Amino acid sequence: VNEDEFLRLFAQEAAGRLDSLAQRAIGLEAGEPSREELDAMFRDAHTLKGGASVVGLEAVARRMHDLEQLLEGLRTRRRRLTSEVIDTVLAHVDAVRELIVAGDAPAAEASRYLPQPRAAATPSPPPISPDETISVPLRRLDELVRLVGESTAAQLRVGRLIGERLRGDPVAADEYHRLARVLSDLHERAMRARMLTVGTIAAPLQRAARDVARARGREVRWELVGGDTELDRHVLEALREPLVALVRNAVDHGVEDPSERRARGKPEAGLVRVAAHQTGADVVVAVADDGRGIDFDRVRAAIGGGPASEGELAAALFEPGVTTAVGVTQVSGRGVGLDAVRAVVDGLRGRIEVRSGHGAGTEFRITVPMTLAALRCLLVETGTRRFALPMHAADITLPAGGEAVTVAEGRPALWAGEDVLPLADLGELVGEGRSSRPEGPAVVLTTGRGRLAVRVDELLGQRDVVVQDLGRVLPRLPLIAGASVDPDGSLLLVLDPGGLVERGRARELAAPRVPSGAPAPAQAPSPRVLIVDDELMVRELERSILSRAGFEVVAAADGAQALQLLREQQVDLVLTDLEMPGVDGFALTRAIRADARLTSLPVLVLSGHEGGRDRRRVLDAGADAFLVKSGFDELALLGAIRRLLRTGRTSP
Amino acid sequence: VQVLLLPVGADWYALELTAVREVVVGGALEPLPGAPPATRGLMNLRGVVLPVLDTAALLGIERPSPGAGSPHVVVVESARGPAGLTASAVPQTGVLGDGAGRSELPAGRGRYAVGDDVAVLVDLETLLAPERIGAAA
Repeated sequence: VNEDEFLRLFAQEAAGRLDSLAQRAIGLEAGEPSREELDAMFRDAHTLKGGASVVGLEAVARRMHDLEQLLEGLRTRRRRLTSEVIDTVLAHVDAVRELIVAGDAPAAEASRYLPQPRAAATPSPPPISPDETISVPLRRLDELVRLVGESTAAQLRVGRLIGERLRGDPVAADEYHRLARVLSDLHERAMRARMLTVGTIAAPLQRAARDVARARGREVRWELVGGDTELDRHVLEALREPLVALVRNAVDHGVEDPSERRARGKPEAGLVRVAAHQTGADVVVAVADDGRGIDFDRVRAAIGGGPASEGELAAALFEPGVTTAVGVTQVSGRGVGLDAVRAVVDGLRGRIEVRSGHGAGTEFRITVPMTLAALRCLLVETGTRRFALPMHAADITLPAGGEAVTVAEGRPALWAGEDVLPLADLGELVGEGRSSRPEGPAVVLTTGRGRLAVRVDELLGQRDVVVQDLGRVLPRLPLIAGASVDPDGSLLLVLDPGGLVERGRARELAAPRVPSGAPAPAQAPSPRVLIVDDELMVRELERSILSRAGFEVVAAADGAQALQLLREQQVDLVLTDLEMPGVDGFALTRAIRADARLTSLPVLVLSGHEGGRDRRRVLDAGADAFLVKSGFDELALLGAIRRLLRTGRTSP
Repeated sequence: VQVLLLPVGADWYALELTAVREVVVGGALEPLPGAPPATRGLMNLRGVVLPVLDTAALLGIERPSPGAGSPHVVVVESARGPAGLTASAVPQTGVLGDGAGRSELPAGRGRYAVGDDVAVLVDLETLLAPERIGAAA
């Protein structure tokens, strides 16, 4: 679910609540309203307010806030119910309806995704210009691309038949090649239709830079280079959060205070530059600053102080628990995330590098494929099975016989240039048994999780494969990136280089050479978070943030459902709203604390109110942390969750 | 209730027809390294990759046999997406008769008469829940 989808979800949910508000408002005219009626109206207004601030419809949130105040007045009988009051309620409802359709203040942004009733008022269609655009659901474009991919596969099958049956028929061959050309053209254009420019996510990045700069008292000069570089929309969406994290880090940990910069002879405003360009089938997006740089001595200390090359230190930055803040002050837990950034980049089959000079700034450089649809792979054989290894991680192959093979720390290893890499057998890694050819070639895998030489029986060549994922019924399999259907109908597994490296190194290295502090988290089950909120949209927003961050998510629509779920399932943390019908956040927290089995379960409360009174009441009820919903900050949320999961309950 | 009757070993298991997309001839399956034991492998369903699971292992009545082929595969649509379930013989459609007691299987919603036989009605979401797939070792 992405942001446009939230707007749509919000619009949908809001329509129902606005209808019920209007209906109840009209019902009020019949006479003295019951407390229940007013409570229900208050809840609708409150929920809409919360939802609107989450999707950034500030004018809607303000309207609903005013309505809340008015209803509160009626509830406490400070205000008398008159026709004028009902008019006001209805006016708010109508205004909000229009605001949602118009997409609130950032009209241009939201209205792209919402129906435009204005169009109906202009009966004669305007002449169509070549630049005119329409919005198409992404699902349809994806379907189109998938069908083109299938057509290409079918075309290859037909090609084989023609080759077999009509050997040498020039007309058939000519027609076949024409079809192939048209399909390849169609494929290219269908892919283009799904591309977006990097510039489309510039606004949140610039906003992140500005927000952190203001909070930290820094000055920042923002620069975007190559904003017209195109990327597959899925790739760009996935990169958005990591890029926001990198930009935040650049301002928070990179750029110095204005006085310090002046003292160092730098301009007072620190430069934060996001630059994108295309190289072949890859796109490079770099986030750079001209700040203090990373102090690698401090990084060395943070990972245990042993001897480590600059490259190893740079790699250590992406380990959980090490941050760019190490060289500076330990700030606010905002440094969370380089490990998460790397995980996203790995997931996109890309890589991330860092360059930094002490005092001379830092550059994070992310390289990702322009699209995920076709992946260039190296085909290998081990035993009787074929596998595909993505080329971006498998670019070197070496003969793995004779003198190149050596032993390091009691395990087989292979000389690769100047390095000695652990050597593993692909057949063993995938559980097919050791390779029959001890002298077979080795493929060098280079990933964010390290390097590994993998011995195979045979190299079968390169191929572009259309990778399909395995769906959500199975859990994520660490060794498998996806599968592809061959023209002859057989299946080809695409292996995940990162997973292979992790497993290979775990097998080959009896004791980890890296100093402790970086335990392999891959085997640990992901923590499960229970989300409790009566609003579908908020639940979906939280679900999408948490599952992207690698948590397992279960959801409940109110406190009663949550308690039911907690009785049935093992949960590691509860993230709950405060104001809900029935069992609200306070009651839920108290019930959890009162239950002997759940009493140490961390509870994080997310409230629509800023109020200090709520905060105290929530913490008194036994919650571990309190966050405010508006100005929803993904990193702050994830940071708080990770902190609670790490430390457990703060007080007994 | 209209159901699909799935032969597993010597028993019949019933799936509500609304959850069943089609029944296809199985055959060889591509084994998946590192997958939970209840996973038989992948199959090619008209160009789309489909994970196939061992029905007997998911039900908890037999040990899984990963990688083995299956003569028939029932393609179901679960809340988490499509999946294939193995069947040891040709599945049939039928109508559930009177209740014939509770089922002791985690995914069983009860026993029902079907003609002269008894079938266990299976709850698909429970059968394909992550903890079932992980537990069927």
